Amino acid sequence: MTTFALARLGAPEAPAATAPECDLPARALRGDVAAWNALISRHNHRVVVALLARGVPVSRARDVAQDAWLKLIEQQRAGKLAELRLPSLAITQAIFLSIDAARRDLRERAVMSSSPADAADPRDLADERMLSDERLRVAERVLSRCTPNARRVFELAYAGDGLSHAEIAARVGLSTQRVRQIVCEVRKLLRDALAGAFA
Amino acid sequence: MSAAHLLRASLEAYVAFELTESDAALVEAHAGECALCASRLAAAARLEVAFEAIANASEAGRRGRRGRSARASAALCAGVAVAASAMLLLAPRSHAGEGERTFEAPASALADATSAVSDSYAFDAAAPLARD
Repeated sequence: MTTFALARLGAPEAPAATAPECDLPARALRGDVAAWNALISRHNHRVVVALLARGVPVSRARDVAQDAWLKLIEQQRAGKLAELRLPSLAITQAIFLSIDAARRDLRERAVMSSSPADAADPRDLADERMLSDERLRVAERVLSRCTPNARRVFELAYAGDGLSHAEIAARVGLSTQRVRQIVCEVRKLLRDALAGAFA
Repeated sequence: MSAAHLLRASLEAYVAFELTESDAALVEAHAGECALCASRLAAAARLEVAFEAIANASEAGRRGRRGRSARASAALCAGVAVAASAMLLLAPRSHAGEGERTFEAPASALADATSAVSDSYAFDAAAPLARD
């Protein structure tokens, strides 16, 4: 079996960051292993965090994420993958796998014990909304008080492509250190504004 | 990192992908055995995922505003062009007939239109980072 780069990267500035993001999905769809590795390095952590956020134990989240990537690669090799929108596709795949695993657990518990299973309904893993409209409005107010620079840095850090701080710095013309500082500051503002919502 | 429970900063750094591999392994090992820290880690992960939703919404909003602004600018530019054309069409006839006659209505329409165009550019400049 091909070995894919699923190891955690020690720093936010991932080696994969040197590859142009726009080329990677197209190359991966053609079966380019290096492109798959770069995409996995870039997006795997988001998949893991998405699983953690949905209640998947940390001991299992990394394995489920790895299985999700392998599933996507299998689909690509079978010609079943028409497009590769990441990280959303990998997250969706990982959530499906975690739901399957949770169902298996429920069945096993039901077999092992006559008492009803106490695990949560696995459908909750997929259905849970992370942010209500009201909280989104609160967040919007916070962002509206930030400078356009800070807001853009935050968007680049969290929306879409999973850019590293160094890539964001290059894009907006700031130092990597300043980008890191801005991301921390905006995160703190949002965390304070949304305090309690995610405890 | 605390031996008893993980620090909030460590959990936040973990979900933000800011820990070294060895520190991340420590977080995972502890959260794998400690229910309280596992629960706090899940909360930190939910917040991190919420940040993604917020960033996506913010970006979508900015694109929407820029799109609306661009459409408004295009409409106003078209208005300016129409007003300018009208002036060009009217000007020779008026000069031929009435000498010093001014064209207040088209001129004021043009001024309104150009000022509105300027406003829309000013609005655009305030929103995105491109001009920073």
